[in-house]
Amino acid sequence: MNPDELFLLVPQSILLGAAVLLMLMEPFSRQAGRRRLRMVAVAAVAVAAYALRLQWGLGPRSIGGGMIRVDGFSLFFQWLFLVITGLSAVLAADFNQREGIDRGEYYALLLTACSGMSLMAMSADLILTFIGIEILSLSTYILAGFKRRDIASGESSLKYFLLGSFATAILLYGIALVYGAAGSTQYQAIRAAAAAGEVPALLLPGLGLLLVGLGFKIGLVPFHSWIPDVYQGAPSPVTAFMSVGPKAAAIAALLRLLVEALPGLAPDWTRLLWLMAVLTMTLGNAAALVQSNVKRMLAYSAIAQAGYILVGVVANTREGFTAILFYLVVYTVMNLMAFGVVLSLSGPGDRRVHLEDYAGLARRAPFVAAALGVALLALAGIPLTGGFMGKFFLFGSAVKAGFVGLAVIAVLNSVLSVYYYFRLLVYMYMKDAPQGGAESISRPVGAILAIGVFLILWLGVGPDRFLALAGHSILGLK
Amino acid sequence: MDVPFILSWITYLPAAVALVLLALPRASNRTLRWIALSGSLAAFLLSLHLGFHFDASSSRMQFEESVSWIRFPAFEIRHHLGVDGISLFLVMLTTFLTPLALLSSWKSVTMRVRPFLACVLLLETGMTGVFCALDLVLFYVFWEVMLIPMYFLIGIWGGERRLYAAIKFILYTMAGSLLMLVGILYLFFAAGGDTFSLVEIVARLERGALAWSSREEFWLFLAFGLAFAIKIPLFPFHTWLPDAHVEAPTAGSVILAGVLLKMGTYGLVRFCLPLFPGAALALAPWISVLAVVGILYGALVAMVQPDMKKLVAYSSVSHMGLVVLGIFTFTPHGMTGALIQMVNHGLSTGALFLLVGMLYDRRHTRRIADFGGVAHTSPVFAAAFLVVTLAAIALPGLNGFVGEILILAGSFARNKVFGTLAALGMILGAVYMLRMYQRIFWGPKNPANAGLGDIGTRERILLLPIVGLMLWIGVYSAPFLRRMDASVAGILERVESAGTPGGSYRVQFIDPPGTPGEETK
Repeated sequence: MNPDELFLLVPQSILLGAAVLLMLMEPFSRQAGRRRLRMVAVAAVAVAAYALRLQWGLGPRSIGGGMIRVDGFSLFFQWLFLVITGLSAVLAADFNQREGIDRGEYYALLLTACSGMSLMAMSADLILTFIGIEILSLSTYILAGFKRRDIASGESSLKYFLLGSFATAILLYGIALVYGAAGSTQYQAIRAAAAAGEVPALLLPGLGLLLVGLGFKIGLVPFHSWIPDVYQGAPSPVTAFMSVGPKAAAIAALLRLLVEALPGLAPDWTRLLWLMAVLTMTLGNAAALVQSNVKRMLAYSAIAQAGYILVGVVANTREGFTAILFYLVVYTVMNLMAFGVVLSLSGPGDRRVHLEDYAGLARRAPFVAAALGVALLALAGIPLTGGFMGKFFLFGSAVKAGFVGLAVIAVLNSVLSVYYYFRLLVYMYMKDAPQGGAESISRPVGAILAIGVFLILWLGVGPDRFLALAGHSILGLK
Repeated sequence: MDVPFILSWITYLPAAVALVLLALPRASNRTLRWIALSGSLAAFLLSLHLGFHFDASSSRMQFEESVSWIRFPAFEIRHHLGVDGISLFLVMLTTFLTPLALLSSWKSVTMRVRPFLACVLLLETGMTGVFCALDLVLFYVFWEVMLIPMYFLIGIWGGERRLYAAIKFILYTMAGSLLMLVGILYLFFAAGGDTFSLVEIVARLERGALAWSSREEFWLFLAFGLAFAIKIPLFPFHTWLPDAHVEAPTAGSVILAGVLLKMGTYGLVRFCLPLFPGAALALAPWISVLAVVGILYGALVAMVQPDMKKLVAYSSVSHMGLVVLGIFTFTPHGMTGALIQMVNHGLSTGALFLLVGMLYDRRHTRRIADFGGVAHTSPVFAAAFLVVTLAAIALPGLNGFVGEILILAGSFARNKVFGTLAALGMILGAVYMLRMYQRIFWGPKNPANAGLGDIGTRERILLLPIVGLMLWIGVYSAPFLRRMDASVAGILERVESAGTPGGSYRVQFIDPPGTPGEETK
């Protein structure tokens, strides 16, 4: 590997270096010095983002013997992951202090998770994809159980670990089959093997098992059952992170795998994913309807949202992929906002997460209620928010590709989702508070919410620039 | 005189005022109310300009403005506004009723005044936008965004069962409109994937550059039509309406009945007919049947309502059915009658809700049985109520008559049975309206009403313009009808390009082209 190529890995090195540094600093910092740890994490994210900026415009290239792709697609996702990681660190600050889990490892694990996600988006080789998933998974298993003395957090972590291990094993099995069929784990080689006349028989079961593994990470029905329990039990900032980061990473890996390695099997995987998209949307929304725990409701909503995103994969066109990238940005913003409010209001022990706890919020904390309201409207896909534009382009790509039925099912699902998103609005705006205690949120969370509101409206009114960026980013995907 | 961007001014002025309201943290409720009222009055004055400078001889869009909104390499979404004879009076109706709605809530809304005023103003922006938008996406945005303030109006300031009504309202309307979104997307790609402009797509259809297969046209018509049918509401999609009407605060009911329902019938005329004339022709007998059922059903249910608001709500189902019947006659009479009847219904039902609201403010009950002999204590109020009631049941000389006679004339030309049944519905209308009037204002005096008093200056000011307009349209409707004629002729010509509607409607089984299962690929 020549120095030129090493330069492209600088952002990853910064993240991992900072993670190691944080773990070394942890034993030596006193309670008052914890703030420094967080600063190190945020600074590492910022420097890594700057280092990435230098790579923009270099043009697509492969390094590491063809294992790693550096192109617009991977840059886009790496940025997204850095933003998610940075925001998660900031969102967690007050919460972790309140819950007494403000330790350096927390931020170190966020950084390693981020580097795992980045690898998934950059990978052009099944082995590297697997390594990325493992780095990400191990970090999140621990993060989910970070409240060691909390029984729910422990349950969440263990459940995630057990089911996750199964999924990874299945993924590995899939990799083995594909390797057996194509004679290589590199995407380009697999593609060539499938293109050369007859498709090897083992490739199809391999594809199926890979979809199981990645579908588990994305949370696609029928591999979704871990999500509600894990999301509910994990500390709220971790839930916030898991609902956007790993999901986006798995979608990035899925896109790369399907488009770069297995375009030859497109008829097969579009059919499979069509079915999974329908199931995911419908089951996620139907289950969210009956939840009274806000975290659990948002967990099912996250499942449903993954279904909408899958619509773009099924379309299997440039428009579809562009819409996915755009929607992931919107989804990140709105979900982080929603969870930002949830974790700020959840109170001691992370317990106040029921619908009743949101009664009369508009009176007690007008700004917080308004911010959550905007996020919910966006999740429901109301026009003038980014959520509408995202769905508009996603469903539009499906209609263009001829999947009118899928688009109809998707919009009917959106109607379902309106019910539970608006029910939270009902509680916030139309019910009276049982007791009128004013809510307070920390200043950083407030700032994130304010920026989020602005971004959601911007994405909803003037999405052209973001779409152009997304469209440019998928050019590397081929 | 040409005012640049006049439609944008009318549309966005209320929203701007709403933002000003939200940005004034210390202003007293009184100040806020005055600011809101003057903002909506300014929008009304601007809309008068449209009325005066409208060229009645042209069926083209007027006061058009079009700027690029969202731009892509392959296509763009434009901020494209314009009015013609179909939308002109609906825009004016919106700007006319909003200040009245604000004025009506002057005393009755005392909690959370600022967001209330902001919601009403945002609603006005949304409704005006719906009537002006000529780009499909822009139209859809206004159509959906308008739901949110209405949802809050019902849900926060509404009556006992407001939460149920608010959720029901939003779910019903969303279900229809999201299917329309798929319709819009399909239309866009079918039309070449480069424009969302309604004018351009219709032009392509007329030129023959774009043609529907009968199956496509049928499903697209349904996708759009369902959204509109729910909004109108056409029987059997009407069940959200009584709940929403009854639970909404007075201002909300006025706007809901006065303007919102017209968005549905407007949508049919503006989108369904020119875009899918073939399907419209084929389905016209069936839609007419639904309309007639709605007329009779609404009237019969209204007859047995003990609650005034519910009675008026079901009368709306009946009257809007008549409007739909008029549209689908595809005769100049029926169509013009339907358009003027949309305005009439907005005026009379809006006024009825205002009047009921005045009673409710005083007695906090809407049960008809709680009243009686009110004419003795409130003579002016009784007189105003009488005029509005008579307008609603189409007494000659008042506005309702003009619309109804035109619609009935049109529908008799198509199908005598429909015409007869619709006329029967009108007679039933007279029965329930007059009975309500009789039971409230005459009859034995209820002692609880002794201290009712007559209406004050604010309420008189409120009713005067409406009653004035009712008389004007009733006595001299030419200035209104004249402005509609050219556009109506244009629409009819477009419909007839797909085939002649034939002499008389016969309800016959239509073979739906294609089954829904085939749509999914």
